Amino acid sequence: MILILLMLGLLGFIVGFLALKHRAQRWIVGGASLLILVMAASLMIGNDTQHWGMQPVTKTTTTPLQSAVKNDYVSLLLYQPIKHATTEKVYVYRPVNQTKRQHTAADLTTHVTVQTSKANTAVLTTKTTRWAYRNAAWRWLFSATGNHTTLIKRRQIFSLPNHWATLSVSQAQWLAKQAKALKATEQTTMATKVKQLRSADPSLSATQAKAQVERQLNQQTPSVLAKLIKQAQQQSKY
Amino acid sequence: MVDTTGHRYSQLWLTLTLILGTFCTALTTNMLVTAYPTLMTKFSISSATVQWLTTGSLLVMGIMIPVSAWLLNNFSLRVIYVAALSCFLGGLIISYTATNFQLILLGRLVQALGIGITFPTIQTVLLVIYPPEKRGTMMGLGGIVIGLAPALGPTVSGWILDNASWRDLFGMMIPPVIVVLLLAIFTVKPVIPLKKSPLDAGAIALSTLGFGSLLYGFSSVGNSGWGAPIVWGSIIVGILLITGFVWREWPQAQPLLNIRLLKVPSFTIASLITALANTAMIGIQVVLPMYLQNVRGLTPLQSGLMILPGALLYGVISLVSGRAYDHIGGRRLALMGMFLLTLGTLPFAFLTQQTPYPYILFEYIVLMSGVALVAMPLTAASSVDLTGIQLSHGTAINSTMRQVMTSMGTAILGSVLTNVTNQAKPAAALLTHAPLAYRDQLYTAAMQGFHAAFLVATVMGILGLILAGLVKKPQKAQVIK
Repeated sequence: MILILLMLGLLGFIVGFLALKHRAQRWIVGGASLLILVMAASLMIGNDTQHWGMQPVTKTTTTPLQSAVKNDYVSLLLYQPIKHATTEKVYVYRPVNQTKRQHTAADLTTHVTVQTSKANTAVLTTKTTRWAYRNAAWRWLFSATGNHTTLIKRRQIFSLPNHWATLSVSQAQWLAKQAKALKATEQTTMATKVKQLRSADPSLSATQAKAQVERQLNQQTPSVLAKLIKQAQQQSKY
Repeated sequence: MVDTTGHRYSQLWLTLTLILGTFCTALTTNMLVTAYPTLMTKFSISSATVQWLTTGSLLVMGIMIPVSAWLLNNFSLRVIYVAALSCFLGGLIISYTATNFQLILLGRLVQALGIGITFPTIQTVLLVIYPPEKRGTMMGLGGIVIGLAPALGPTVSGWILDNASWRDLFGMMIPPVIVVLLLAIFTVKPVIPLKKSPLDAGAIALSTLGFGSLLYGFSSVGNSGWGAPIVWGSIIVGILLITGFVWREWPQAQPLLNIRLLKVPSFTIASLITALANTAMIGIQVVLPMYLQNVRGLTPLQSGLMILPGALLYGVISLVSGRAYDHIGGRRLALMGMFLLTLGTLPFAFLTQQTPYPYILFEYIVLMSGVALVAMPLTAASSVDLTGIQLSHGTAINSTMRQVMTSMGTAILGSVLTNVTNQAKPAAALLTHAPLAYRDQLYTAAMQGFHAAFLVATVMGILGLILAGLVKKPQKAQVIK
């Protein structure tokens, strides 16, 4: 509509001042068109720079998450620093029931925070604020000039339970390597310990001895892993 | 109608031939810019080198235009026009078959010899063969080629580059130019009364070196900045040589270029207005595509399409405004046109990174309508108080003025853009530790540069509006229907 007004103003201005014979006619038609033309142009500038006729509208969505990397030791939220940025990064996450990982947008309008929660499951809450027309009249005035849903800001909050960890992609790779090594040592320890137990007490069957050792190890593993994750977080994030 | 030798000739065919010929030459003036990236990779040359295709032809045109008046008064129109088109054709063939960049450039310079003659020729011929009360209409017709063709250039070349090779940019012009050349041999008659004068070699040297040096200085601003010795050195040498030229020419009875015409107020004011309108238009045609391509990421073809509707409308309105001039004179058209030009340029000083494309397209239409109301009618208006041989001199002077002011304006807009952008640019160190903030600030800086450049263009519009207020109202006798 605004474009039609602009063109009508332009046409009226040119025709009015060029073609009409009498001075009065010229100023009525041309002058009125001139007003329309100037108003339309001002509205367009105002709409573009000051968002005239628009208001911010916020939409909130929540996405339940699963670990970004499948493993049997810890649930992970990953991040990747942008080039060698100190603070700027994108987070890599995986919604429940999806195999593909997703990441947060790499721009300044997106603010991401990570917080721990008491809940049992991890969720991502996204609050997106976009420009939208105040009402149908404004939308009609600026119709046929595009969608005009410019993003103002996006606030994303990862709420993670206690048993989750946040690591950079390379830290997670380091952790995976360490965990693998840990498992290997565990298996050798297990074998020696079972042997030791059985030589001390020949009445124990192999399965009984194994169960006993496993109980022992399972008590230790969480603290070992926690230590390992802390170590991972101290690795270079790049 | 009869020509100067008393033979009958067809005004219609003559006009048509000149318009077709100029359309061909004018189309190529803006066409090559789109091909720069292609040529740079193809011949592994720098952007400063490839720029010579524009700078070089600008120089050659700037040298030819001041001499055009003398040529038109000393040689038969047919000889001049056929020679100009032959030059153009020869240049096209050289560039089309070129195997290295030097040959393309050589071809382009030979083309520019032709282009530099066809522009003032069509303007002079239209002024000479039509009576004053029909000049507006005919100039409006000429406006289609002078204004529309250059604006079509980037779109046409973008399309050709997408579908064929860079050679075809030159190749596709060859057949139509041959047709027009054949047509010219039969339809162009000696219609301009000859007034032979001896060739003043000293004046030609001064004008050639003076305008050449001045234009070279302005066109180097983009790469070297105003502070570079090559820039201000060339500009100062150019101004000195042109002063010498004026000194030598002013007292002469049969000057190469009759600069005393500048004492005629109606001529000078109207010429300045057309030059300003042209400067603002070309400046925006240079800067806007940079915004569309660098900030918005459009391809050259897309950005060409964005300004196409405005260019097409320019052609239509040019016809209307030319006719209107014959009825109402230049003053009202100048005021209206300069107002629209200013109003159409102002929104560009407020562009954002998200400005909807339809806004840009339609604001450009307003801008071009303004230019169309001014350009050709005021060219006709500049000749109101000129007669006979003065017409060809007047044309040469206001074409030179337009050429010099346009390159000066483009240089100013370009350097404002670069300087403001560079000042607002973030420190390079930011790129390593905060690339997102760096990118954001880079765009903000670029937008500040564009705002400043378009604001300068708006100021040109306002200056034009003030000058338009000085155009005299037509006397009653002129307003006869």
